[in-house]
Amino acid sequence: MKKVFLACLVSAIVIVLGVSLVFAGEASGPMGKGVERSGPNLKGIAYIQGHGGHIAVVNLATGDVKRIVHGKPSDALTLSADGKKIYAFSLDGYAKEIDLTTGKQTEWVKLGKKHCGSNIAPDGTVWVSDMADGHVYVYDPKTHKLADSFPVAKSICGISFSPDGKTAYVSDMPGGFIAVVDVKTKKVVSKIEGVGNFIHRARLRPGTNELWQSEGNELKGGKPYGVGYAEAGGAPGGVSIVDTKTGKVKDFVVTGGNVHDVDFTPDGKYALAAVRQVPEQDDSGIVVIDADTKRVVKVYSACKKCHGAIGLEVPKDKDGGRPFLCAIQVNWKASGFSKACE
Amino acid sequence: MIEVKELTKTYKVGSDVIKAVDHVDLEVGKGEFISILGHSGSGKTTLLSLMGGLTRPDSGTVRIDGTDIWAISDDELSDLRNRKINFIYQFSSLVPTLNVIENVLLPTAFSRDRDEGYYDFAMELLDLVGIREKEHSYPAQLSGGQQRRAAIARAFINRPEIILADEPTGDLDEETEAEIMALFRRMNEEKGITFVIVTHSSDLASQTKKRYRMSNGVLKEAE
Amino acid sequence: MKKINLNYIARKNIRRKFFRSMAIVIAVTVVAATLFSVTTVMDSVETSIKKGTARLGADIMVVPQEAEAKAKTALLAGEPSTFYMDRSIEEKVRKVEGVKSVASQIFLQTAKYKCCDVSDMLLIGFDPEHDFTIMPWLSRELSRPLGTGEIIMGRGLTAYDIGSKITFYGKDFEVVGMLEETGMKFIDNSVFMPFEALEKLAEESRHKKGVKAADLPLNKVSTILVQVEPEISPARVAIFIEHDIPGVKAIVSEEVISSVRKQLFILLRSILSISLILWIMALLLIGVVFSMIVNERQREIGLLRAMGARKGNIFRLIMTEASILSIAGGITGVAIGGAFLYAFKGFIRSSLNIPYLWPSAFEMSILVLFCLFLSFITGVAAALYPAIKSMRMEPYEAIRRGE
Repeated sequence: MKKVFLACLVSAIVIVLGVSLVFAGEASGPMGKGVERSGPNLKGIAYIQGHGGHIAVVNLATGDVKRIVHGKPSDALTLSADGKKIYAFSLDGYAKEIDLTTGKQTEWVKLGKKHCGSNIAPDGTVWVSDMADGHVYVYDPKTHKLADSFPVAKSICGISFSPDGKTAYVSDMPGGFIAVVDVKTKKVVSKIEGVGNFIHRARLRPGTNELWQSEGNELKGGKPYGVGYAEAGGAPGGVSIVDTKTGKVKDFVVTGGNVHDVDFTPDGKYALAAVRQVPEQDDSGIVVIDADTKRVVKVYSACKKCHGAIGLEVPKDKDGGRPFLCAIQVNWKASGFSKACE
Repeated sequence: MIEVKELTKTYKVGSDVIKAVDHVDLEVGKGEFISILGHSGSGKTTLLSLMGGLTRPDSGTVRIDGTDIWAISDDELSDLRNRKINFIYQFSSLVPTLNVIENVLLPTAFSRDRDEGYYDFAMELLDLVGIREKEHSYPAQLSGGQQRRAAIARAFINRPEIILADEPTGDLDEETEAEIMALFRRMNEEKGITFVIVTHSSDLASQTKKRYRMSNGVLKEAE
Repeated sequence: MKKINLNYIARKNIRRKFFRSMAIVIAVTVVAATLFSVTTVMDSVETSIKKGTARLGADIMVVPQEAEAKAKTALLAGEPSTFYMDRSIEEKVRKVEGVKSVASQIFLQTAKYKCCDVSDMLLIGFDPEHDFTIMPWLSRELSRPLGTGEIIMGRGLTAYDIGSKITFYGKDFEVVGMLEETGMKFIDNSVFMPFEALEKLAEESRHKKGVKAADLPLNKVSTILVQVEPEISPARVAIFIEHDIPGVKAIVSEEVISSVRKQLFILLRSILSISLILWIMALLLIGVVFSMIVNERQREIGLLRAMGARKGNIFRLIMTEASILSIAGGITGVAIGGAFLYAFKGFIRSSLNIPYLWPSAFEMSILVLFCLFLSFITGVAAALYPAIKSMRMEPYEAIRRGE
C-alpha cells in the first residue's frame, strides 16, 4: 500500500513537471511570443531603448519580448564590452547602469541635458551625445561620473568610432551631417554633409568602411521635425550608407517607417534597424536587412505585441499615443533573457 | 503775372458732380487790382485756391510769372507761395497760441532767406493797419476788426507780389471795410502788389479797377 | 524778440492744452521711471556679480560637495557661513588637467564672540604665497607682505579705514589695506589675513581667559579657487575636478553669473511685463492725443501751408511737439526712477538678497541716455501716423474742413 502510494506520487510529480515543461515551451513569459518564420535564423538578445521609461528586450531566436524598467524616458543605450551591463542615458540628461547578471540598477547620475546616442570610446569611457546643446558628455563607468564634455555641433545624436579608435563619427540630427571628430583632441576635424533630413544613430558595418546612418525622415512642412511617425511628413525613412573613406553617401536603403538606429550581426551580413511605425503595421520593430542585397528579409515586433499583451497604453498626448523605440544593440553571445527583464 | 488757362475743378457731392470751376481763362497783369464777384457757391473761392496753389485742378494750368505751379514739386510750390503769394481769408486766420506780433511774423518761419529786419517791418505793418499797441495781445483779446487787421499785416510780411483775398471785409463794419480797402489800394499803388479780391458784395467790387463775375463755375468779365 | 521758428510754435502749442500735454508727459514719465529703475537694478546686479567674480579672480570655486548651496549663498547673498574640506585636496586640484593656478581660503566666523568685537563677519584666511584674489586688488597698494596683526578689509565695512584697529577673539589687528568695493557682501564684508595668522589667532584663543575659543579645524580649507589655462573652458576643467576628486563640487563662476541673471529676470519679469503694458498704453495714448490734435488743428495746418510751410515743416512741427513732450516725460521719469532707487537703495539691496553695486557714472549715463532715447522713440513712434496724415492733407481741403 505504501509502495503504491509512493509510485502514484512519483508519477504525479513526473506528469505535472512534464506538462509544465511542455507549456513552458509554448508560453515562456507574460509578454506572448511569436517570430516570423522566414528569413535568417538569428540568435541573440536585442535591447531597444524606449520613451516609456523601459527597454524592450527581444529574443531574436524566438521573437519573444520582455522589458527592463528603469524609469526615465530615454533614447540612448549601450552595452558594456563584456555584455554584462547596459548603460542607459535619459532624455533629461541622466546616466544609469543596469547589471544584467544581477538585475541591479545604479542611481541616475546627472550628465548633460537631453541625451540621444552613446557608444563606448576606445579608452573605455562612454561618449554620450546631447541633442539640446550639441555637446558630447563623457561618462566614466569606473567612477560612475561625468569625466569630460566638449562641443561638437548643434543637436547631435549618433556616435560611432572607427576600428582604429582614432576617429569618431557624430551625427547632427537637423543638420543632416556627420561631424568627424579626432578622438584624442576631441575637436571636429571635418564634416560629411548631405547625409539626410533628420538623422539619428549610426553604426559602422563590421569589416567595412560603411557607416550605416539611420534617417528618420521626420519632416513637417518640409523641415526637420523630430516627433517620430505620429506627425511625420510621410516620407519613407531608411538608412543612408556613408563611405567613411571618401566621405560620401554611396547608397540609401528604404525601409519605410522612421528608422532610428542600426546594429549588425558580428559578420556584418545582416543589419538590424530599429524602426518606428513599420510599414503596414501599426507597430515599432526590428527590420532585418541583408547588408549585401539591401533587401528586408525579416521583421520583429518590438512594441505592439508587448503593449497589447499587458495592456500598456501610451497616453494620446505623448508621442501621438504610440510606443517609441530608439537605440538598439544586440548581445550576440546571450541566448536567454537576463534577470533584469520582467 | 498770373495766367489761368482752361482751369477746371469738379467736386463730387454724393452722386452729383459739381463743376466748381468750369474752363476758366484769366490773365492778371503785374500791379493789377481785380475783383471777382459771385454768390456763395459760385466757385470763386475754389478759383482763388487753384490760383494760389492750395488745391490741384482737374485740368488746365495756372502760371505765375511763367511757372506752371502745378508742374513743380510740392516743396517748390510751398516756397513759391511763401515768396510771392499771400492770402487773406474771410475768417479769423490767426493762430490762437501766438500773440499778434508772432502771428504777423509767422510766414517768416518758413522763409528760406535770413532777413533780420522782419521785426521792424512787422511793427511798421502793425502801424499801417493801426494796431501797433496790440503787439503782445493774443487773438482772443482782439475784436473781429483787429484780428482781420493783424491777418492783413501778416499777409504783407513776406513782401508778396500777389495778394489773394477771399471776402477780406466780410463781417466788418463799413468804416473798417473802407479803411482796409484804402490800405489795399495804397499797397497796390505804392508797392505795385497785385490784388485779386473775391467777394459777393458788388459795392466792394465796384471799388476795383477791373471786375469779373462768376456764376456756376463760369467766369466772365463784368461791364 | 525771438525769431519765430518751428520749435517756438511747437512749444506754444504744448502750452495751449496744458492738461493734455501733462497727461502725455506723465504717461511717458511712468514708462521711463519703471524702465530706468528696472534696467538700473538689473545692471547694478550684473555689474556687481561680474566685478565680484572677476575680483575673486577665480574661474572655478571648489567647495565640499555637501556645501554647494551654502557656498553659493555665501558668495551671492554674503551670509557668512563656514564649511571645510581636507587641505590635501588643494594638491589634487593643482594636478587636474587644465588647472593653471590654485589658491585656498579658509573661513572663520566672528559672530560667536561676546561684546565689543565685530560680529557677524567672515574672517578669511588666505595663502599669501599662491594668492591671486586678494593682494592684487587693494585700493591702495601695499608693497610688502602682511605682518603679524595686520589685516585687509572689504569696502563694505564703512566704519573702518586703513589704520583702524579691530579685535577678533581677543586679539588686536590693524587694517593695512582695503579692497575695492564690489557690491558682493562676501568680499565687501570680509576680513582677510594670512592662513598662519588665522591659525595662530585660533590657537591663542583657546588659551585666553574670557575669550571664546575660535572653532577653526586644523589642516582644512574652505574653498579652493582655481584659474584655468586659457585654451580650456572652465566648465570642462570643473568636470575634470569633480571626476578626479571625490566629494567636491566645482562651481564655475560664469555659471553663477548666468544663474543670477536668470534668477533676477524671473524676479523682475512681472515688473518688466507691466512696463511693457505701460509702454504700449503710452504709445496708444500719445497716438490718440496727437490724432485729436491734428484733427483740431486742420485749418491751422492748412493756413501754415498756405503761408508757405512745406510738408516737411508740418511733419516736423508735430514731431517736435511729440518729442518735447516725450523727452520731458523721459527726463522726469529718469529723475523719479533715480530718486526712487536712491531712496530705496537699502531695501532693494536687502530684498533682492543678491549682490548690488550702484553703476559707475559712465554706465549710469549710458542707462540714462538709453531711457531718454527710448522715451523719445516712444513719442516719435506714436505721433508718426498723425504727423504723416497732417502732412498729406491738401491745404485747401484742410482749411475748408477745419471750418
